[in-house]
Amino acid sequence: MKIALISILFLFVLVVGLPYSLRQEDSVSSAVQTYLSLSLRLIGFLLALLTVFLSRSVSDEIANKQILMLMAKPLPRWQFVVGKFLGIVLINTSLLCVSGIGLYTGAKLLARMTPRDEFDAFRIKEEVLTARHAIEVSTPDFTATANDFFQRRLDSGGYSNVIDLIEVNEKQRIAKEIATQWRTILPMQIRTLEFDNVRCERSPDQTIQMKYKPTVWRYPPDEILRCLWVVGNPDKGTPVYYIERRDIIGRFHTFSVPADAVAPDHTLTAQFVNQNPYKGEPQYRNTVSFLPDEPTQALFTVGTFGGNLFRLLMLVACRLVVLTAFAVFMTCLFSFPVACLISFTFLATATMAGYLEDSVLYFDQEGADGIFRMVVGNVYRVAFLIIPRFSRYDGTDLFVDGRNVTLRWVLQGIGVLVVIYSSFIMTAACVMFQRREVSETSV
Amino acid sequence: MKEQQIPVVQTAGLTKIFKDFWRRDRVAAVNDLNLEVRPGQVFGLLGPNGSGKSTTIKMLLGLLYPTRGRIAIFGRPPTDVAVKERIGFLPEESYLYRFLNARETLDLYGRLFRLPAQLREDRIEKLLDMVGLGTEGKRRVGEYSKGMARRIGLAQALINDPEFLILDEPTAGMDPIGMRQIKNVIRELADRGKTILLSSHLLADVEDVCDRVCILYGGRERSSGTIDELLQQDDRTQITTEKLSESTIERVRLFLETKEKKKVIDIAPPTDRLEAVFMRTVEQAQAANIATAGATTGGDLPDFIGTSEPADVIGALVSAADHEIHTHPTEPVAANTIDQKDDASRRKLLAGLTDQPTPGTIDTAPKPKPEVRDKPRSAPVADRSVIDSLLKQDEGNDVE
Repeated sequence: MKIALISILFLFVLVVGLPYSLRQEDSVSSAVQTYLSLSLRLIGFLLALLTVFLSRSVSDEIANKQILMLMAKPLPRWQFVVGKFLGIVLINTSLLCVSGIGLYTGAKLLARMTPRDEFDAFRIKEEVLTARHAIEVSTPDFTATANDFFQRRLDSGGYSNVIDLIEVNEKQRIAKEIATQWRTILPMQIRTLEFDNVRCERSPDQTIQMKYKPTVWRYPPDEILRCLWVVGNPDKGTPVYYIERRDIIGRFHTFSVPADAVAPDHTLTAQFVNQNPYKGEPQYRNTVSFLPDEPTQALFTVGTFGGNLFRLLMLVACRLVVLTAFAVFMTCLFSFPVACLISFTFLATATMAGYLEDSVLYFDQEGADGIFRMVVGNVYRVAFLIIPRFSRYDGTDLFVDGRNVTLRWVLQGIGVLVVIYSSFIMTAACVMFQRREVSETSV
Repeated sequence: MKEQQIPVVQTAGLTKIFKDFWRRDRVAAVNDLNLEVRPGQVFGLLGPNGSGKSTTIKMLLGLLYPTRGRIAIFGRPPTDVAVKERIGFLPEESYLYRFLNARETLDLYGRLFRLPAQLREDRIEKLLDMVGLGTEGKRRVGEYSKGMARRIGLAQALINDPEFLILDEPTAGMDPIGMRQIKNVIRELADRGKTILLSSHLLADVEDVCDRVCILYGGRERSSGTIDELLQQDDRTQITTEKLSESTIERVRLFLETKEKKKVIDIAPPTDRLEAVFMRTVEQAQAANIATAGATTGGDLPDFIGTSEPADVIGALVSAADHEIHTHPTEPVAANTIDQKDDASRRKLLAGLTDQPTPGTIDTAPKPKPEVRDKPRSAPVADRSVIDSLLKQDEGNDVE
């Protein structure tokens, strides 16, 4: 009870206090973003902590023997376990609601501070306190070209001195190489980028944002890339917008265009012109490239900030439900210190599962040989089968970036985390608790 | 009717072996125990600490699982949830939720039996009155003394009007008023046809209330039978009279030793049992309205329990018994018996309190100091005719 009260107090201090500490940020939009990011992470962490501590109620009742009186009553054991689980879920949910409301209010209040400039004001509204859907640029299919290239090289005897030629791998390698070339734009060259399925409202009052991160092979003296974007497709009857840009190289940049640039078939065409559009400034002739894991995106608003926050917190709730089930399971079997340690290990592993998996896979390919590698690799493989990957259901980064947390994602989270994982863990907990002797083994 | 034939508890070859971390046998807490408790019996499980009483009870409730052997409660396995509707259980300590008050505690347990709200309310009121916590119902249980917690424990065991009551050391931590009360309640419950299984290492508890006793030691049954079978001493006779003069006592002794050739073991004025003295003192204080933060005496067993029997008859019986104890405290409560089987600590305590020199005490038998106790259940009536005739004979023969 005291733990819950302290947590609520802490959440309150956090939600109310943080905005004031963030005033020194250089722009209001980044202050709001920092606030959202920090408070969301802290809420998640605090509620996870609270969940594990609340699960103590089970092991305490066994240790303090109140369970003896309960289990002498006509109360099926599974009801005791499920009751404890539902109780903690209820507390978590209500705390999440309260902190959600606080977070929303905090962010809205913070956003009412005087913005630094017009750009800052626009960012708050269109890029932070919103829910945007992102469409990545569709990379053309280079398979046919690669096959063609491979065939010609084979015919011309280009592979005559290659001993163990695997056709599939070689074709893939060629396709990758062509794609890299496609992402590279030489000086004075134009690259046409296509976005499909841009299902936004095609009105000149609405905006679409283009987000991209340019890299160059050789930096200009001032490290600024000057380029031109041409958005719109006159062939499909849309207006064409010319946007001249001066961008710092190696960072993400966003610009907005009116949404009527999208064609009626929900495609959007944008052309990147690697040429300085500003008169009187020198042409540095940079070779620009866009990296494959940071593709150019078209973003458009699909929902409100409040709705997005709600969906994000639903995902947090899903993760907490799994943790609750696991913590209750452990306290059904072990004393609190043991159960607490195992639960936190579970939480850490589930949170870092993606990172751990990558490391283990890398380790498997490149690392040490022999028994050790086999044992560690297989232990982790089994662990990854059992442990849910919380990072797959963590939308905080996207949310802070004003990106939409989709309903589909939330439903997927409920399905996988609540329906599959939690019910499996709870079933195991009920079965094990049924088999357990609830009394201390004393004579 | 058919239900009556089924024993309330039946165990066959019940064995519980506690194991250590490596699953090796550590200790056999209960070993090949065969119990049978019939409906309506007050069955006492007796034994020193660690003799397997609590382990047996926990197995009967499905809190521990037997290593070997079988258990049937009302003919069903103890893990059957439905069976627990008919059981009331008082564990060896009351493990209550500290943050609930007495009323909420009883309400919680009432809810677990799915009792309707009105019935719960009614029973809680009556039970709190019964255990003497009617005025303390709003206090958090965490603030209660051990004895008060025990009373709540008893109340919760009765909330479902159980057919079968399991009491694990019911008088532990109780003050003598509470002890007396619990014993009264047990007797009354037995009169109302309840079956009771009682575990204790306090022999007085068991002796006062049980019909049948099983003595455990080292997890095995060592002795069992009815109280009368176990207690009867065929080689002694006891006589109780009004106060006699020293010379008369000497004459009686002489007569017995010369004429009857019988050894006189003890002649002494009957002393009050400490319990009776204590009860009297407390009652006087209560009559004077002296304030206490603790439990008050409490009332009778609520009439919802075992309503098949007319409650007023039992109430009258119990209050009559109380009346006898409370209103004539200076008179012998019942016949005094020599009991050398009582446990050492109790003997020592009583000896300390009764050791003051009293006129007319002649000890011809060696120590241990005989102990005086009341025994209301089987109180023999003092037969004055024997001693009258002795005295007459004496006068006639004129020994002096």
